[in-house]
Amino acid sequence: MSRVILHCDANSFYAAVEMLYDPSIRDKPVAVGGSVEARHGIILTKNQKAKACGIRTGEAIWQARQKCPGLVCVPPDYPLYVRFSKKMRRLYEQYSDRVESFGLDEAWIDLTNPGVTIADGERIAHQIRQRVKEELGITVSVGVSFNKIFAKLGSDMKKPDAVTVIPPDSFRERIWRLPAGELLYVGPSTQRKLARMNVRTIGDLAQLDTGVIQYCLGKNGLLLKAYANGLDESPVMPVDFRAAIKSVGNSTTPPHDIATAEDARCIYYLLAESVAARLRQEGFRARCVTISARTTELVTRSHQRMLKRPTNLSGEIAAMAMQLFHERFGDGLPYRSVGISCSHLTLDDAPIQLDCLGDEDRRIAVESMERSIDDLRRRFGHQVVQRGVVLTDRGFADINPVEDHTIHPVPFFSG
Amino acid sequence: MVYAFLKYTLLEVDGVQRQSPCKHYVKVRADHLLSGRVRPLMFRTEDGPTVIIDAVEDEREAPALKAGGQGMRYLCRVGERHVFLFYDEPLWFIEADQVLAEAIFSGG
Repeated sequence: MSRVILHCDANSFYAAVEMLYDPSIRDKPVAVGGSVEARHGIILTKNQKAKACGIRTGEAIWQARQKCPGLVCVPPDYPLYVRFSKKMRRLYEQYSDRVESFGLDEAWIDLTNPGVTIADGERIAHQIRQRVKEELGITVSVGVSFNKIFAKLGSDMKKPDAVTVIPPDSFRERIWRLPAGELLYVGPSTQRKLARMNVRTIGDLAQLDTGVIQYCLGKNGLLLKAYANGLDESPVMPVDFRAAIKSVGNSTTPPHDIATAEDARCIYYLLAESVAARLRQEGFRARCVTISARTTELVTRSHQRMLKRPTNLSGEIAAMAMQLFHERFGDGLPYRSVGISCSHLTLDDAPIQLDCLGDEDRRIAVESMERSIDDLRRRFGHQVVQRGVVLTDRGFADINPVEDHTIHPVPFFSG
Repeated sequence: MVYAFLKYTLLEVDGVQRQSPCKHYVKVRADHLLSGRVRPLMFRTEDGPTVIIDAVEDEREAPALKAGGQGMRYLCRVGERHVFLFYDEPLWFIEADQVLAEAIFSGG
């Protein structure tokens, strides 16, 4: 059964939202760019009128102003764009539970179901396009195809506010004549390499000899050739998909350099606590502890060692970290930043080998206590319970070891 | 995965008001129904008189093309007149040109 996949791409997303919120700039060339006053910053998005002046995404604002003196340049309002992105996603999720976002303004929707044809996909694509315009006031281009790569290609072919279908039986006629650079993952550098082999269109790429392309571009070359032939099988991830966790780590650059072993002890305990808390939260124990340290010359070194038993206790992780530190890093002080990472994860409800001479009772009690601390911190904030060692340096005690990491755009190969 | 253990409780920040000639930010009194829907009952500008909504004839997500903005749009009947009331979270505003705004807020 052929899949039915939509790719929705909001047209000039940031600029469209800004124009929606300020009616007075709708008929002017508009660009969203970094700090204007500081005379630096680049163009992030531009509307159709600005595009017509020859303004390109990524160029400096002063360059853009030279090309188009009447350009209205507005600073980005990310919280607003995130809100619109969520609204779009909620709308898409009314059509399928497999919606995979690609940055703030793009998403794939997998409509594959028994009986759903490409024609149905096109009908739904028009419905989505219409609804986004009527309910949110911005426009999207939608590509409809049987794999993610062609759906994305389709959404780029006709803009704005349009639907492009690339059906499985006639994709060769529709897209093989397009330049190879249109394909996802054919950037300027790959395009140059391809041009040297006289490969200029997607069709040329699709028909290129497997050996030749592997020789020139390696494994990725085979992937690109498969994409050009419509053989992309990558799934659209379900709404609640989370990538499998392979390690849990944390690092920090404290307010002042780590000058003594005592400083290091303080920071490693702080980091071990946050790593252990995350292991417990995700339901894991770790067998391997890795510590890393970056010197003031920005050289990073790391060492790792296996633990006797898998653990999610901060004391055991910190003790191993300090043991490694004394053996390997003791001479290299001072350090600018340090980190701990735990890997070789096992589920915390998996059976473990008990040690009849060991101290299992104590470990169970400590884990129970640490879980209580997690709960207290969840309710009253991280600073509510602290280890004595952390209080030896006020500057360090104020560090919040857990930070917020969100990256845009997200990588394509995230699965 | 986003982890944010905040040291201090996050302060709720007010919405940013973006002005335009057809946009009048208002205070609203509303019923929050058991279903989760919101039924606005009356509104007023900061220092103006209270305007009672006689009926809400339509509600839907929509852009405010004249005033600028987007949110839940309530088509409100006030006496003989109709006006769009928007809930562009967390702010409420009505979309009305000068003539309509004067008529609505003067109760005429």
